[in-house]
This record gives sequence, structure tokens and C-alpha cells, in this order.
Amino acid sequence: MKKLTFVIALAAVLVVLAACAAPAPTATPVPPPPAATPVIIKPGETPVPTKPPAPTATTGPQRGGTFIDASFADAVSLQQLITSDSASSNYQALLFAGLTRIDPKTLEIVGVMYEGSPTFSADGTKMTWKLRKGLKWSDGKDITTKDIIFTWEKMMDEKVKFTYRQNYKDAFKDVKAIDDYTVEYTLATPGFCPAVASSGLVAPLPKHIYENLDINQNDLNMKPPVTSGYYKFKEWVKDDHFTASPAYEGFVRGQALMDGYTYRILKDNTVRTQMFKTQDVDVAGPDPADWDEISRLPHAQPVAYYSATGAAWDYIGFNMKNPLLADVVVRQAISAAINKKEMIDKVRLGHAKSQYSMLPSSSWAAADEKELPKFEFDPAKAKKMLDDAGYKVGADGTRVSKDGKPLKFGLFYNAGNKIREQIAIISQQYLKDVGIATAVEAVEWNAYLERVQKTKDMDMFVLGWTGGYDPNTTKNIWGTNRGQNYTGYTDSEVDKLYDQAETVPGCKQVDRKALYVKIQQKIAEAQPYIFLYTTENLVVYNKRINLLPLTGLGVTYDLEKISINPLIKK
Amino acid sequence: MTRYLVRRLLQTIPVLFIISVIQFGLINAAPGGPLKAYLLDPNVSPEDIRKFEHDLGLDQPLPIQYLTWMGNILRGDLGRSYFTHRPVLESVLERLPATVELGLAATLISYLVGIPLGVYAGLHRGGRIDHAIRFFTSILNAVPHWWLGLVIIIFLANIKLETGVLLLPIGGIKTIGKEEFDPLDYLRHLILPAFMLGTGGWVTFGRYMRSETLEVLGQDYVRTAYSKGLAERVVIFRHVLRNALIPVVTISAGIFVGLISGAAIMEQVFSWPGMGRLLLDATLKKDYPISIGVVFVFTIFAVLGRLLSDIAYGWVDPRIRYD
Repeated sequence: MKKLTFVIALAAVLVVLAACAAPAPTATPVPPPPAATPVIIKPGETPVPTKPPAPTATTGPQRGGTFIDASFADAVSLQQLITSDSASSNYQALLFAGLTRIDPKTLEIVGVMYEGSPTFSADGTKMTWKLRKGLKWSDGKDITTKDIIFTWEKMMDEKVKFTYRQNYKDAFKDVKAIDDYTVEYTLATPGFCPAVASSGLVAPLPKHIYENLDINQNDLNMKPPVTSGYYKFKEWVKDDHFTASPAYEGFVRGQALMDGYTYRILKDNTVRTQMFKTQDVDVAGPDPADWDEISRLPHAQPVAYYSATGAAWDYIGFNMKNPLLADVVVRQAISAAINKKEMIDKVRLGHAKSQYSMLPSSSWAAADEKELPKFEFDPAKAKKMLDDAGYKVGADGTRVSKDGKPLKFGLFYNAGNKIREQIAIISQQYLKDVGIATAVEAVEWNAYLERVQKTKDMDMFVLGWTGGYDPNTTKNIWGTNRGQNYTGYTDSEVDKLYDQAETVPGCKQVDRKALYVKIQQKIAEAQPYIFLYTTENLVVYNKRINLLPLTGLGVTYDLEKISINPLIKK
Repeated sequence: MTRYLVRRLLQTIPVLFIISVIQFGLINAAPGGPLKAYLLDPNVSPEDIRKFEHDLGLDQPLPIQYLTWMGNILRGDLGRSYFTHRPVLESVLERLPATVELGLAATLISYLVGIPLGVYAGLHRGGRIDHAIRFFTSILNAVPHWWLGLVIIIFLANIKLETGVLLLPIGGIKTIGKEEFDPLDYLRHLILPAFMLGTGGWVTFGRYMRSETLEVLGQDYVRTAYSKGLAERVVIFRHVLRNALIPVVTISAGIFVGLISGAAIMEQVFSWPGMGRLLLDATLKKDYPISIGVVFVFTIFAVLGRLLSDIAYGWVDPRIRYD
């Protein structure tokens, strides 16, 4: 019997021994929390530099250290021409320098490997960029327009599985090198303004490395030996982590201060948040429910902002093929009947703000709220609008149209999405109060997309978009018969305004914005969507990271300037 | 024995074929497809999507797609991922060691924890410890283990040793930044996912061992052994444990296979880069070649595991004969 007890004890000891086989201590424990209330960095503010625990003087940011980021998904490949997922883009952005970028303050497109801004020919058919001289690949070879043209040719090569080919064909007829440092783009549509952004979206590949390789399938796609970005490739353990290191001394904007950058693959947000707590990762994006707790951690540096290029927003869409929902009064009344503020408070726990148009207010082309028609929560007004339009309340409390059709709609959301489920249920209650009946139905995601995009077998649907940089991409959503126009919205004037806005002479943001404001006004008036809210980006960084002043692009836009305070130990 | 083995191996061929048809049918019956994600990307044109569809052969009728795939399989080619364009076999083999190691560790923990617990409970039937073991194993059997894993992660995230190091790492396969392979570091990362993955195994083993111990204790030969004056540990080890282990040995291979193929969720929770995670990702993205390839490998494991079980059964129980 004693032997049996020993066996049990042995099993337990084995387990505990392994658990206690901790590595030798390398770090000093984190000092106790200095304050209970977090200081959340808001737009325009610079994060307060972290104070070292010891009085050792440091002048300016220090070199060294590795930033440990977290990613919900692993990259597909490090070859940008065959990927379209955000994880791959994130890894690639560390390794390959871009031709252009968005200026963090003005949000204009400016050169990185290219110089300044492009010039246009008088007739608007040609756009010319100058490549900076003296740029080198990490193997010491010169970066010239030969690399840019090689990359363009691969983008246009039908054999290469490039996702966005048609998009580029729509923007450019041809791209050619005038000399080693001048590139001329022939625009498909003269004066096509989004071409400025498009011209820099794909970072050049080193021709001397890839010219004899199959771009779709080659070993270098998983470990590029020659790069041009912040860092060189170091290690990629699939589905575990990716590390780019060391910093490349020849990077166009100067050698990065941090030695390396690592992405850990953490697919579950609970795990990711816990790993931020344990300081295994330097950044987390906690759910609104966890925000207060995580922000108060002694090592947390919370940042809350509305992204200028990637703001996420939710909406309820109408299928305007339904004759009742084709009536603008019905759509406006439904919008006024729903308390969107309550959704911000209860669904997003206050971490969102009202949105009144098809562009989030953080976009450079967003209209001022005052310029837009609004349908704030006002059930009395909603009832009156419906009464005036002839939708009278029937015996069962549901309104009917003049020709006897009841205002009964299906309200769909994708199953498993708790936020959208709450939006649907809250909306159902408010609509009932004004005499509109809805049947809420959850549909599996793929089947849901099928219904929204193809069969149009729904009346109202809860969905969301994540904003892009150029408002011209929304033409696909609001243009007549365009690919993502799920509501069936059509307005020839809006179509014309889109065409004008994409070819404004000179392509100045201010000139283009005036036209996009008109588009937003017309769409807001028509209410093909009920614009619910824009979600706030909630991010916490470890205090050891010295961040940049907050702009619409966040606090890490100039990665080369981010540093790690060596005096703050994990 | 050899004839039996050959017959059993030949029987696996129709099994693999039927499973491949079912899987191919199921995966294609699900709504959506690998190009669905592009429909939400305003930068991808319908022309591009149609071209991808053609390039991937997705515009072909399903039977043709299946026959093409099967033809490639017979030539030893599991195909290429729709997204990474890498050979499926390469991706699977890359993840296989992590999953097998996790499965083996979980099986080992199942033995180390389940067998002693079950035997102890059986020998002390009706005692407080027996009640406690039965109570906790019933609860552990009922609770979803992935949820328990998350709770343990949250719990362990707050427990540090005096050195400031976490008691156990809460995810990943190694400490980031360690250049060389460190067996101790690997073991520390392995223990939590293995223990949680093995929970189902040791609970099952514990319950089996308890009931088998009770049954064997009531046998005449045990009573005879006691009456001969043999020491209790001799009776328990030589007669009770040996006979009670027979069903455990027979279900071991099944448990191991179950742990490997059921590792997907635990690999997800503990960020363990194994085949299960690959399968989950591929299924969500509708990367058909990868998900079919992984399931194919799991099926081979299952078939071989079952075969191993049958062989082991004959080995531990001399009454079994192979004809």
C-alpha cells in the first residue's frame, strides 16, 4: 500500500519538478504600482516618458531591446505579391521599405524611398516619382528603378498569384523607368488621384534575387535573405513567433533604435491580455470590458484613439430591393427610432462615438457633423414620420402601408458575434415601440455573406466595415451596381461626384474632400445604412516602450524612432 | 500474425477512401469558400476572384475536383495550400513533431495521474479519498477542458516565483529570444498544455482503473493469493494491477489518437504550434488542401492506433488469438 502512495507521490513530484524548473532569474521584479488611475493618451498628446526606477541619467533614447508584439494570426508568406492578409503585411513591413507612406500629421501620401511628392504632366496622364539616390539592399547592392519595374512586371504577370492585379490595371496603363532614379506612371484615367496612394503600396523586390525564381513558390518567400526595411529576417517558427533582427543600418529613414521586433502568435484575446499582464508581450488590445483593469496595471501605458486609416464601424444595412425599405421615410424613421447612444454605452461600454456618415470622423475626408443630416434617437419624430407617410398602426400594433403591407422585417446578424447580436436585439425592442416588427435571426458567417452579397435574401442586416485610407474605395459600396453595394443604393449624382472626386486636378486633399462631403450628405440623407458608431482603438503598451506623439496613425508610426527604456526591467 | 497484420492494413485502404469522400463532401458542402474573404475587400475585383477560382480549379465540378485530388494523393502529392502555395506535406510535417510531442506528453500524464488515482480509489472503495476522486473526476469530465485551460492561464498569470519568473509559461513552445534549444525551457512550456490535454485521458484511465480494480479484487485468484499469505503489495502488483491494466492498455492507443486529433482547441488556447492549430486555421480559411491533408494524417494515425490497440490486446491477454 505504501508503494502505491509512493507512485502517486512520484507522479505528483514529476509534475511539480517540471513546473519548478524555472530559468535563472534575469530580470528584476517590476516595482509596485505607482498610481491607481491610468493616464490614457488621447489624440495630440505625447506619452509621458517612462521614469526609470534608479536615478541613472540617460540622454535621449537608447539603442537596443526587442519589441514583443502579438498577432492574432500567423503570416501566410513573406512574399507580398502572393498575400493579402494583415499578418503577412505586418511581417513584410518590417523587412521591406515602402516607396511611399502616409504622413502621420497631414495624412497626405509622401515619399519614403521616393522623394517628396509626385509630379503630374499637364494633361494628367503621367505621374512621375523620383527615387532617392544611395539606397541599398541589405546585401549592399544599389536599389534602383530596375527593382521597381521588375516588381511591377511581376504584379502584372498573370502567372503570379497577385490578389490586387485588376485594381492596379484600373489605376495604371503602364509603369516605366526613365532612368535609374525616375519612374513614370501612365494613368489609366487622366488625373486619377488614388493612383498616388496606389503607386507606393507594393514595396520593391530585389530584382537580382528574384528574377530567376518562381514568385509563387520558392524557399526565399519564407526567409528572404535580402531586404530593405527596418530589420533583417531572423527567425520564423510557424504559428509560434516571427522575429526580425538586427536593425538594418541602411534603412532609408535611418537605423531603427530597437535591435529587433518579434510577433508572437496569440489567437485568443484572453491569452493575449494575460500575456500582457505577465509582460510576455509588450502590447495588447483588450476588450472594452477588460480595458479599465488592464489600463491600471503598473506597467501599462494605455492609448485610446480613433484610427485615421483603419477605424472600424458598425451599421445596420437595408435591402432596398424590399419595396417597403425602398421608401426613404421608412429608413429614416427606423434610424430615428433606434437609440444608437445606448449601443455605444451598453454594447461598446462607452468606447465608441456616434457616426453620421459613410466615413468615420477620423478620416481625412470626413464631413463635419454639422454639415450632415442626422437621425438622432427620437421615437416621437419616428412615429410622426411614419404616420405622415401613411403607415398606420394596425390591430396587432404593427404598422401597415397604404396598400396593406405590414412593416415586418427580418433582422439578420452573423451567429456567434455577440456585439451584433446585442445590436439586433436592442434594435428590435426600439422598433417595436414605434410599430415596426422585426424577426431577429442569426446566420452562420459564410451563409450570412452569401445572403448579404449574392441572394439578397434579407431585409435588414448588421455588419461592419474597417475604413481604408482613400475614400475612393467606398465607391465600391455606394456606386450603382458596384461589387460591395449590398443595399442596392443608387444615385446617379453620387456616381458623378465619385468620378469627379477621383480626378480632381492637382489631387489636393482639400479639393477632393469638398466633393466627398457632398457624397456623404446625400448618403446620410438617404440612410441606406443606419450608421451606428465608430469604435475606439484600445491599445496598451508596456511602459518600457518609449512611444511617439499620438496621431490618427497611432503611436508607433515611425518605428525606427521607437525605443525601449533599458532601465525599466520586466 | 503476419496474415492478420496484412489483412488489417489492407482494410485501411477502403477506410481511408470512405473518409476522404466524406471529408471532401463535407468541406465543400459548407457555405463559403477560400475566396470568400476577398468579397469583403473593396480592392479585389470580381475578375481577380474569377481568375483565382480558375487557377485553383474551384470552377470545376466537385467530382472532378475530387478525382484530381485523389489522383495526386496516389502519386504521393497532397497538393499545395491555396494561400501559402507551399506543399501540404511540408506544412504538415513541420507541425507534426509539436503535436506528437504534446500528444505523447499528455498520454504519459494520463498514465501517471490516472492509473495511481484509479487504483487507489478502487483499493479504498467508499473512503473519503475515493469519494473525492470520483467527485473531481466527474466534474473534470463535465467541464470543457479548453475553458478550464483559459481559467488556469488567468490563474497562473498572477503567480510568480520569488525571482519574478512565472511559475509556468502560459503559452508558446519556447521562451522568445532563446537561441539554443533548452530542454528545461521546452518542458516548462509543454507541461501546462500537456496536463490540460491529458485531463480527458487521466480522468478516463482513473475511472477505468477504479472499476477494473474493484472487479479484479473480487476474483477468486485474488482471494486465493491473499489466503496463501502473500504480502498485499505482491497481490496488488502481481495480480490486481496486471489484470486491471488489460482494458487500459487496449484503450491507450485510442486515447493517444484522440488526444492528438483533439489537440486543436488546446493548441489554440496554449498557442502551441501544432497540427491541430494548422487544421483549425485551414478550416476557417477554407484552405481545403491543408484541412484535407491534416485530417488524412489524423485518419492514418487513428487507423494505425486502432491496429496497435488490437495487437496490444493480444499481447497483454493471452486468451486472445489472431486468426
